[in-house]
Amino acid sequence: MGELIKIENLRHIYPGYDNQEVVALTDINLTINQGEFVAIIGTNGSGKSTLAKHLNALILPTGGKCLIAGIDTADNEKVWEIRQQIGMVFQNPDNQIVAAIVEEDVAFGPENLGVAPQEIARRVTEALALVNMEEYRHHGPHLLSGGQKQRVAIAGVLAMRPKCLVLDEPTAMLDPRGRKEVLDTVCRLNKEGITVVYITHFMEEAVTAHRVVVMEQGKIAMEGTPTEIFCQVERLKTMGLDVPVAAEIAAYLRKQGIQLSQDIISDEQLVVALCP
Amino acid sequence: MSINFDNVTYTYMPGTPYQRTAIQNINLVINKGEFVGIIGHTGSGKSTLVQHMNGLIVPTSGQVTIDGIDLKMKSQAARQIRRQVGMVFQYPEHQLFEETIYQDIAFGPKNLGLSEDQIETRIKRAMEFVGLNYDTFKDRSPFNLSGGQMRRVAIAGVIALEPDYLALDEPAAGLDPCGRDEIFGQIVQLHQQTGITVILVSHNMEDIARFASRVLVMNNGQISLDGLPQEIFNSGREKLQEAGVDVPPITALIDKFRVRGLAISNDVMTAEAAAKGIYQAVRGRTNAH
Repeated sequence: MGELIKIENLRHIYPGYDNQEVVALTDINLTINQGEFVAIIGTNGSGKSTLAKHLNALILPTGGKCLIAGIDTADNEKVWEIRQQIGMVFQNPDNQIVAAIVEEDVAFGPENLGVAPQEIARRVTEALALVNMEEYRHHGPHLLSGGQKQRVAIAGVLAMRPKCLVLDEPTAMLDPRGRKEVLDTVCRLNKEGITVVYITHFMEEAVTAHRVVVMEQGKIAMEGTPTEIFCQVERLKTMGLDVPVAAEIAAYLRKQGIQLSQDIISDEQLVVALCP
Repeated sequence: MSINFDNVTYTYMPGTPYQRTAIQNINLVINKGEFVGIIGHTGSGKSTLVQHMNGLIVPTSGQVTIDGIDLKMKSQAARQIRRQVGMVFQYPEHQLFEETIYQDIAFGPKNLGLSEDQIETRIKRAMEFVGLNYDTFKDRSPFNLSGGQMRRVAIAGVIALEPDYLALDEPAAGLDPCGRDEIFGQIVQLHQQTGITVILVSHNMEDIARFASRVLVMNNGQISLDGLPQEIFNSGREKLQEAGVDVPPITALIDKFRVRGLAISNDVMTAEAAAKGIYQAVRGRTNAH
C-alpha cells in the first residue's frame, strides 16, 4: 500500500471581493495511501472542495505541494497523467453528463485519452457493470433518476481506469434511495481496490470511511477513524457539524451518569450497550 | 383562505411516447397558516404538485384554486393571487442574476409596481430576515458569496414579495448542518411571526419531522398519507416503506430499542427528546430490578 496522494504545507489563496485575498487553505499536510477510503467533512466554506480540486490539478497550490503518485500537480506537462489517475465526481449529475446515450457518455473519457475503439467498448462494458448500470447502456441519461445519473458519472470516470475517485458531495441532490445506491457503489469499488476521497455533509456516510478528515477554516482540524472523530460530540457541534444520532444520545446518557463506552457511534452499538 | 386541489391530474407530454402521468386525482386543502411537509422519493410527483400552487403548470384535468380563485384563469384576480404564492426552487442561487444583492432582491418587488421607498423597506426587511446585514451586503455582487449566503439572497428575493404562501423545494440541499439549521430557523420564525403558510418539500425526514405540523407522503403521483408527523412516522410505517421513504433516524433508533424490549415514547422527534426518553426507560428498568 504505497502513498498515492501526498500534500505538503499546501496553501491556496483566491482573489476575493475588493481585491482582498481569501485564504482558502493553509498548512494542509495530508497523505492518502493506495486503497484507502477517506471522508472529508466540514462546514460550507471550510475548504473541502478547494482541497479536492487540487487533487487533479483543477487548481494549483499558491504555496506548498500536491503530489499524486509522486508527480507534482504543478508540472504542466503531466497534467493529463494526473487527471487519468484521479477521477472527479461532483454534486450535480446533470452538469456532468455530456452525451445523449449512456454508453457514449461513459466512453467520452477514454475517447479523449486516445484509447483504441475496441478497448473503449470493453472499458464501457466493464465500467457500467461496476456501477450496476449495464441494462441502461442504450438509454438516454436524462430519463434516469438522480442516483442512476450519478452512477453513470462514476462509470465515466472508471472507464479512464483511475487509481482514485474523488467525490465532492455526490449525494447532496439525491433522495435517500439514490444516496444509498451511490454510497453502496462507492464502498464496493473501494473494496475492489480503488482509493476513495469522499466529501460529504452526511455523517452517516462519513461513518463508513476508514479515516475521517475534518476541515475548519481552511485547515485540517481533526483526523482519525470514524470512532475517534464522532465520539467528540461537543467539539464537532461547536464546529457547526452534525454527529450520528447514536453518538449524540450516548454523550447525553454519559452526562446523566450512565456508564457507556466512548466508542459508540452507531445505532447498533448503542442498542447492544443498553440492552445486552 | 386556502389552497384547494380538486381532482387534479397532470400528464407530461400527452399523446407522445413519453406520456407520463405525474400526479393523479389529487384532492387536497391546505389552510392558511399551516406548515405542511411533503415527502416522497424522486419522481413521486412532489415537484409537479408544488408547481401547480402558483399556476406554473395548469392541471390536465381538475382545478386548483387559491382563496376561491381558479389559477387557470387569465383574469387580473388570478394574476394577483398567483403572486401570493412565493416559490423557492431547488438551488435557487442558480437564479441570481443582478450586479448587486440589492438589485437582485429588488427584482420581484419592482415587478409588483412598488415605489422605490417601499422596495427599499422590503429589501431591508428581507435581508434582515435571512440574516444578511443590509449595509455590508447591499452593494456587493451576489456571485462573490459563499453557497449558503447566495442561497439566503435568493430566499430574500422571494420573501421581499411578501407572499401569503411560501413553497420551498429542498431549501437546505447542499448546506452544512449549521446552514441548514439557520435556514429552517428563519423559515419557522417567519411562519410564527407572520402566520405565512409554508409548504416544504424535502427528502430529509428529520427536517420534516422537526418542523412540519402536517405531513403529506407522495407515491406514484398520489397522496398516500396525510396527517400529523407523529402519526405518519409511527402508524404509517408500511405505507412509508411502500412509498420508498425512510422514517427519521431517531424513529429508526427507537424502533431498534423497542425490538430489544426497551419501550420509549413514540412521539419524540428530536435527538434531545429521544435521549431523555431513553434515559428514563433505562433508569426505570434499573429501578424495577
